[in-house]
Amino acid sequence: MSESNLSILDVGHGNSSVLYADGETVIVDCGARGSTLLEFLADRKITKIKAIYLSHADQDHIGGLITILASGAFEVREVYLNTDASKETKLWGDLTFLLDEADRRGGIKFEVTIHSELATAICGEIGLVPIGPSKLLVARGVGNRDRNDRKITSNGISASFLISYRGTPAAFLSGDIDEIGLDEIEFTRKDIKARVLVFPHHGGKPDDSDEKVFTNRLMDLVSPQTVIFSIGRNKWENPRSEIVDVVKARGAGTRIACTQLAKRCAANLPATDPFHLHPFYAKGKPRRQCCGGTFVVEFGDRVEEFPRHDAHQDFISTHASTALCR
Amino acid sequence: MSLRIGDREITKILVVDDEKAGRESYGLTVEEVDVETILQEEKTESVDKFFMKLNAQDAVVSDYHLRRTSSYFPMNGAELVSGCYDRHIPSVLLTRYEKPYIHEIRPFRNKIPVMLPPDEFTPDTLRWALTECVNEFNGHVSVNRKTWRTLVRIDQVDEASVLVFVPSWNSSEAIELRKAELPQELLVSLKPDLRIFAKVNIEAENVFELFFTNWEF
Repeated sequence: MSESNLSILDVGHGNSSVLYADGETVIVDCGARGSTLLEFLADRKITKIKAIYLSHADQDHIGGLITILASGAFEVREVYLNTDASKETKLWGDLTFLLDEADRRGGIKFEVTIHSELATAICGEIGLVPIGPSKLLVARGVGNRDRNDRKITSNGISASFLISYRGTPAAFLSGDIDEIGLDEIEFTRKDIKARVLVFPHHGGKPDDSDEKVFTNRLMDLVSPQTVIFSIGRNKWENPRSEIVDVVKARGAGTRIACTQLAKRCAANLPATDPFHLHPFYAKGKPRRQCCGGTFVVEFGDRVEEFPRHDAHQDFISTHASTALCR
Repeated sequence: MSLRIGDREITKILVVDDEKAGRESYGLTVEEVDVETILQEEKTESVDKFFMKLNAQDAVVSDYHLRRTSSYFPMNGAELVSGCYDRHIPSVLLTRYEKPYIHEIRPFRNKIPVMLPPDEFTPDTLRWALTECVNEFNGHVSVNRKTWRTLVRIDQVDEASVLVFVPSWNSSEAIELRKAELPQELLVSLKPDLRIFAKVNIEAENVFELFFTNWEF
């Protein structure tokens, strides 16, 4: 049977997810700086990328696209992103410079609007369905007001995606959505129930909203079996314990997996290489900073998650004496 | 007496420092790894002759400063270790990471697998450093030294130096490069916000580890 999978990469603090099926590759967000995504793709001998989607303009989601485009090592056919007038950064200038250069060479198609009505991207039997932002939020843009008269932030306008396999929802990639984004998903009656939830904003505080209320609402809407926090051991103190506690309160049937080992979960790193990690590249691997590492959902007649839950729990029991998820 | 490093059997380590006290201090550490330790006592006028003395069973430990005592050595430690690299002789550069010297070291940094501050030079770090060298000779480059073609943005241009950003390394830390570190052909077109390309080890942990090769403009 051909290989179909979703990899939620350990990129440190940031997000990047790679869909791979039938020789096609689609990427959602590219992580921050460094070579993690390049190493991941090179390890898997992937040189052609059908499409890259950026949820929003924050550095920890777009930096890796600069790296990919500048490397010249990959053929990227399409890039989808939303402009953000609040991000007058040099980094945004770097990205648009590279996109423009590639566009003028005719080597890439790039679109500057992602919204909930954008067509589903197809990668083999995997579908990538844009859930947010709504057209209304995109039209009003960052700095303006949403339908409840709240100021729209960069995170509020973050794109989010539902991943499906053979038509069955499998994962919700939430980008950095906050309460405004979540309200809009509810208002537009989008169904985002999925087996795996990649938690927004790396488990950090969702802008000005109450994190417990936000987390409960999100958990109700997604009803995930597994919640993933894409975090960096050495940056910020994510995931926040208040958020993890809400997820834990859902019961033992809800798995929690962080890509890296948070300092508050383990003051020290393992003295030996862990054995539970999936073989795919993970940023934390060389320095033994992984907890779950790169998280892989394998699709087929059965859907399987890696690292396996029991092996990951053994690792946590042994190496994370103050683990938030226990 | 020999030291097994990967597929190498190292029998002799040469210690190079223009100060006798430095040579002797480094030599004591080297002796602890159970190989023949040779202190480079005499002055070296010809680099070629120096390299001719070395063979595949040798390794070199060199301080950065080799020219404080006049005519001890015709090059600095960075150039020496880089020359060893070209000959696949494992070698370690010892330096206190002093900022003024970063510009002299960086052009050779792609051929210096390991730099160590003297106070971190121990038998364990020596073995580790030699292993890193041998791994690199065998094509196994560590992720923080692997180079990728990447974007370099010129930020400021001064008389003798330029400030650049490498967004794929760190989008918020400016890197000062001396003009002497750049290709001559690039100097005429330098201006703020110019975006060019080079191969850079974008996983480098800090600016001292960073190096640039294969400039394109």
